[in-house]
Amino acid sequence: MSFVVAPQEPAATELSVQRGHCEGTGSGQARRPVYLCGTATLLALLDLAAFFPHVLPARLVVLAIVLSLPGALAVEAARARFGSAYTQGALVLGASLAVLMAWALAASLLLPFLGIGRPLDKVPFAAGLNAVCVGLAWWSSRGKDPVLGFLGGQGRWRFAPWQLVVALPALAAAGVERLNSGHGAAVVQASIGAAVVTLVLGFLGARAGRHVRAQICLLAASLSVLYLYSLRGNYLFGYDIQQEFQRFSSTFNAARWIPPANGDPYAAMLSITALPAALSRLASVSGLYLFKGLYPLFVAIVPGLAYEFASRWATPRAAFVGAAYLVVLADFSSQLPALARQEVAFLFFALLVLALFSPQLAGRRRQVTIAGLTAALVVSHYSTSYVAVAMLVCTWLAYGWLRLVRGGWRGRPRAVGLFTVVFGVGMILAWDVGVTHSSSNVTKFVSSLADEGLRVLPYGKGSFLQRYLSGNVGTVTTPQVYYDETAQTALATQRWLRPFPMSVTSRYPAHAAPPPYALKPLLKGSARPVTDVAIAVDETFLFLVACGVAACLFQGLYRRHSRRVPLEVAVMCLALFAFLALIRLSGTVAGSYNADRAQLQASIVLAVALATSVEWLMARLRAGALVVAALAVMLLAGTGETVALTGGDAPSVLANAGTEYNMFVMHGGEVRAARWLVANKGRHGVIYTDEYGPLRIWGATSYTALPQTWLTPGALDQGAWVYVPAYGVTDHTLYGSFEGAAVSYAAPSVFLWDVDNLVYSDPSARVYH
Amino acid sequence: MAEDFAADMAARLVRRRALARLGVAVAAISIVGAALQAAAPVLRSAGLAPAARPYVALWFPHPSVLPAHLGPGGRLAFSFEVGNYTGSAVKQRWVVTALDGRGRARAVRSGWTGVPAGGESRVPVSMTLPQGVAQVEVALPGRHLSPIEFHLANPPHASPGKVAPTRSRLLSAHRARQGGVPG
Repeated sequence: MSFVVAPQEPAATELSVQRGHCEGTGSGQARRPVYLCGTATLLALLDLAAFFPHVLPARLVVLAIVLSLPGALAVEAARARFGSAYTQGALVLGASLAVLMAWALAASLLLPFLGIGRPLDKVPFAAGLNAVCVGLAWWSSRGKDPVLGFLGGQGRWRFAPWQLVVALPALAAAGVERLNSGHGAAVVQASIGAAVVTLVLGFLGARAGRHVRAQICLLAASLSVLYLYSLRGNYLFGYDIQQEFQRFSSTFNAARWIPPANGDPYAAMLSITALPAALSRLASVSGLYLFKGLYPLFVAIVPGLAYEFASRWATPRAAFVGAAYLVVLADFSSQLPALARQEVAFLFFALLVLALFSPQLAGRRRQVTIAGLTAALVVSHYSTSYVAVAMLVCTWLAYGWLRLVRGGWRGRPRAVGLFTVVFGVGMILAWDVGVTHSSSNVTKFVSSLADEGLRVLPYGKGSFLQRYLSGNVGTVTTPQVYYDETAQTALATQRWLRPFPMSVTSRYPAHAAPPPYALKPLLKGSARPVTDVAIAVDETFLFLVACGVAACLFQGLYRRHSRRVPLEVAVMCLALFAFLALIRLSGTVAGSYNADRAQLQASIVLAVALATSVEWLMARLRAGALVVAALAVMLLAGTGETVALTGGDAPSVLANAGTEYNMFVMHGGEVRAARWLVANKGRHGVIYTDEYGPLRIWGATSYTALPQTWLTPGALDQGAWVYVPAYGVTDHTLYGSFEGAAVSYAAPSVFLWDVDNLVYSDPSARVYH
Repeated sequence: MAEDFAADMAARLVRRRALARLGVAVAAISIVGAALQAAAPVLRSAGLAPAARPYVALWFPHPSVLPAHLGPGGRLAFSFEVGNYTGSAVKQRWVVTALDGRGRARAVRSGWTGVPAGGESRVPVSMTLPQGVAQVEVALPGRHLSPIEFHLANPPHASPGKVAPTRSRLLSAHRARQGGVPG
């Protein structure tokens, strides 16, 4: 099956030439060794630099080579071409990650049989990587040097003022570090403002047909907003990333990836286990820095790829808006830095979507590229790969049906072919079921479906409209109700529990938590209007995406002009939009996958749909400035910058206090207290903490179980070890949740003081026993 | 022939340019790395690089086997540890206080311990206490952290039939002197 260039492709090919495509340099007939000088030089440099782990420049050089050389060789071996320099660079990076994961996997599984028990240690891993690179180079060289061919493209670099945007992530990093060290948020605010300016510059560049400028601006803006969160605090910021780091630590310590025997999905993902462990050992860079500094780069590249995808059929300015929408979504900056696995997986997903519709790929090299990217996606993150493969299956079925109905099934070959679908499904079955036994997400969903049926409405109470408007969002409860419900449920369900007598616990009623630290409003009374505007803008963009999907389908079915969106792309957009609607509405589906993260993934493809409707808007109503202003509003609201204007609970990027800061910013004392606790609690000790206490324990130790998180007098065991995080010590506030209802309540310090010994104390954590 | 020569020359030129770019890239990475390494102390002092917050921690090394009763003759032995994460060696004062069932506090031991930077120091305590002591606590005066403490069995003078006041109430006067109830 081959993918033939579509009728509109001359325009795309022309575009790729404008963007500076990257063919090899050779004349085609010379001897191979002559053309491997780039590879040999870099390998020698890699091996040399790897032996100077205490020299920072050497570590950076190792990291740069490891992230580029294997990919450049693999891409050349597969003859994969994406057209523009930006996408080719992204492909090289993605291919490097894929090669590293593949070698780490092979080494972990095979080398122990040869007597090498720690295959991810520096020497065995580097030796194997050298061999892999030489093999790829030998395989790829057909009269051109794969490394120098990539670097030796046409054109000379000249400085232009807009290029200063590449310093934007450094500005964001500096701002966050100043905030971390107790200074104000002025530099952070300046960097958010600079990100807005960068997006405007990118839009202007796209409008002028300067695609590289648009893509670099997207990259700079993305990375800077990601750094605002990923670099927050001296430890990792977020929830899931603590467990990811824990699995990384165990792989790093063992210097080997071992398939999880208990079906642990975190341990099954190579993107957060074998990959960072190998990188960390080879480059001598701490895993903490990899997760905080390097991983955000992977996903920061994605908006530029979405721009590339959308600009194949939309005008560049509209495509820019479609891609920038991804950057300004609140969850892009605040959630993704806490999901290292998804940062890697999104890169592979975006590359896969590009490869599927790439006019430069055909025949076997197309199949090899798609298979490689699909495999890398599956081993990187299970949920992203489930959504991707479901998208492929739906597109294949729906487009096949449309072709059958329209009688054109013998026409143009499909981008999503049977091979792609079968390979995707087979890869998921092989990896998630066969190798790692980590399909608990799917089995949970299926059992939920079997037990309760498909709940097409969101969980919650009230009328249909109320449930739709509130979506699958949790509710809030009161401290006293939380105390009562947790006590009753703990007594009923935890048979091992030795509770304190009610005569004791009844003396300690629940109290509301002190109000969180709030920023003073710059403009009094602005909170409501600003929130309303932000919600209106958000909903308008969603409406535009829906209109865009409909317009793409209409174009695909009835229009014949050269820049129309192909029907297959329109069907793919429809499949993803339907999935988003389902996850927004259905309690059953939402229980298995986070709707916000689904929206982020879908937005990579739906950039085409948004671009289609935005183009109509900008062409008919001359609303370009309005659209860019709307993007700016979304970015400011998403990063919490609007709170500086309206006042309210301080977002974590603006103050060293507030709810978000309490929950996710960890202190050295908390980390040390968690380590002390796990070391001293004994084998059978039961740990109690609040809703966000486990993050400190997971992030700091090898303790993988979920501690008891009902830290209330009635639910507490008499022999418990109680871990109180910093906000419980300094702000006297704890957080809890019961059956989806969240609560913040006053820490029961007096109760703990009366019934337990205080056995560990530092300024930011306590342990009672 | 001439075309081959021209193509060969063009290929060499491109390769040379690529090699130059490779060299520039490696040099740029090295320079940035070296500059960052050299400037790390300055960046840290300017708040532009991660820096650990200094603190001191206090704990019981054997929290599961803390004494629950006074021994014969009122003997009591335990130990505690002080961890120093301030970045420099400290000489730390400590105070052991005994509180009776009525909430009266009495400093029973005190001393100094030297703790190296990043290290820990164990302090064994052995003393004789009068009957009626309900709680023993260890504090580090001058440090912003709560004292650690453990209970002893109920004092014998608690009158039968009378509801014993909670420890928080017993200790309130003592806490008020120390700067507030435990948070």
